[in-house]
Order: sequence, then C-alpha cells, then structure tokens
Amino acid sequence: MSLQNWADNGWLSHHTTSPEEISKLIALCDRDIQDCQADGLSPDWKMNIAYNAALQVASAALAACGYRASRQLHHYRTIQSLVHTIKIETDIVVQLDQFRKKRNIGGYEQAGLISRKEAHEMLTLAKAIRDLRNIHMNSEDLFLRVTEQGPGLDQYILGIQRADGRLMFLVEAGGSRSLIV
Amino acid sequence: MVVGRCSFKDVAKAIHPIQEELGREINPSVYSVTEFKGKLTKGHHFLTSILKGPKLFLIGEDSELAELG
Repeated sequence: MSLQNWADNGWLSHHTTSPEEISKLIALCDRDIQDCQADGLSPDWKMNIAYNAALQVASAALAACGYRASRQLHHYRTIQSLVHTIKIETDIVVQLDQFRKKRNIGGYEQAGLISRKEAHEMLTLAKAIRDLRNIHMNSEDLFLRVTEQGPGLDQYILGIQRADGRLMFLVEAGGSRSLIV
Repeated sequence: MVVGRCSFKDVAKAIHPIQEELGREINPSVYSVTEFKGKLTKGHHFLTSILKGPKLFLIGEDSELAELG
C-alpha cells in the first residue's frame, strides 16, 4: 500500500509543507533529544520526551512527502508511515509503536511503569531515526535503508545500500560516529 | 514482565506476531536484573504489586524470581 492509498482511505490528508516547517520539526526533535538527557528526570519522562523526538522526525518525513496523518490514530499512522517515507525497516517501526502503547498506558493509566533500560532504548531509537532521516534527505541514490541497534543499548548501526549496490554503515557507539564504506 | 539482558526491541519483535494472533495488545515491561532488584528493595509499587499477584512464568520459575527480591 502506498501513501496515496492511505490518503484514499482517509488515513492521511494532503499537506503542503515548507522548508521552515521541516526545519522546525527537526529542531524540536533535536531539542527533545537534548532535554530527555537532563539529570533528575524519571524514566517515564525520559521515554516520553524521546518518543516525542522520534514522532517529530516521522511527522517531518511525512510532511516532506506531502502528507499529514488524520486526527484519528494520528500517532499510529505517523509511525507506520516511516516504512514509506524514509524506508525504515519494519522491526524498528514495531519497536517504536510498542513505545507508543507504553506511553499511552503511562500517561493515562499508571505512572512509574517505564524502566531505565526502556527509556534509554527509546532515546537511542530516536537518535537513530533522526540520523536515518538526515542521511535519507542528503542522498539521492539511496535504495535500501536498514537500522539495527548494536549489542549495547547506546549503539546503533545504520546500513545503507546505494543504487549501485555498495553498502555503507554509519555506526554510533558511546557518542562517537564512524562511517564504514 | 521480562527481567534480564534482552532489549525492549527484542521483546517487541517477539511478541508482535503473537498480538495479531491473539487479537489483543501485549504491553511488555523490560528490566535489567540490577534495576529490578533495586526497585524492589525500595518498594516500587508496580513491581511489588506484580510479585504479590498471580503469575504465569514463560521462562524461569518462582524460586528464581524469589532470589531477585
């Protein structure tokens, strides 16, 4: 199913974006990634803020494709659209959507449910999605994009296959990055 | 409730097809052993409630859980 199919189903509406809107959404993502690392925040809040960061990127990617999600199931549709907008792998979308459900429970039913491990993973996930989007936007010949979290919770690997078949890997571990061609 | 070294991502991936099969959501909570023990020691409400209530073990058993708390 394509994004146009989604729009035909009423899940998305057509949207005319601007460089300013996209920049604003990405700036909000960067702000949230910074803010969720502040000292003294509970894991609940860290996860919430990091989730919001990822959602901003998803919204920016969808807007860049000329759409916005309908009000009904807004977060769910925005997250699912990542498969189409920046070609993110399904496992990553599944993970992000699972965090969406945890956020709903934590926000509306019961607090204190998020572990430090989960909050940290959400932050790593938000950073990986942001970086994947940035790579996607700056490269014209990307064909396949894959993300994978490394063995440690603060590591992720972005795998990119170019149209000519060459593979590149962007590895982030402990705050430093390496590009492997 | 999952306590151990696996990631939230791994658990989310494992339960995803099961949710579709069951037709209901599954909302995992994933803890490291260190954090689980620490929160139990401090009387964390959610974890304490879980331990007091009925449990269905998928991996491990009661005696192993008792060793953590």
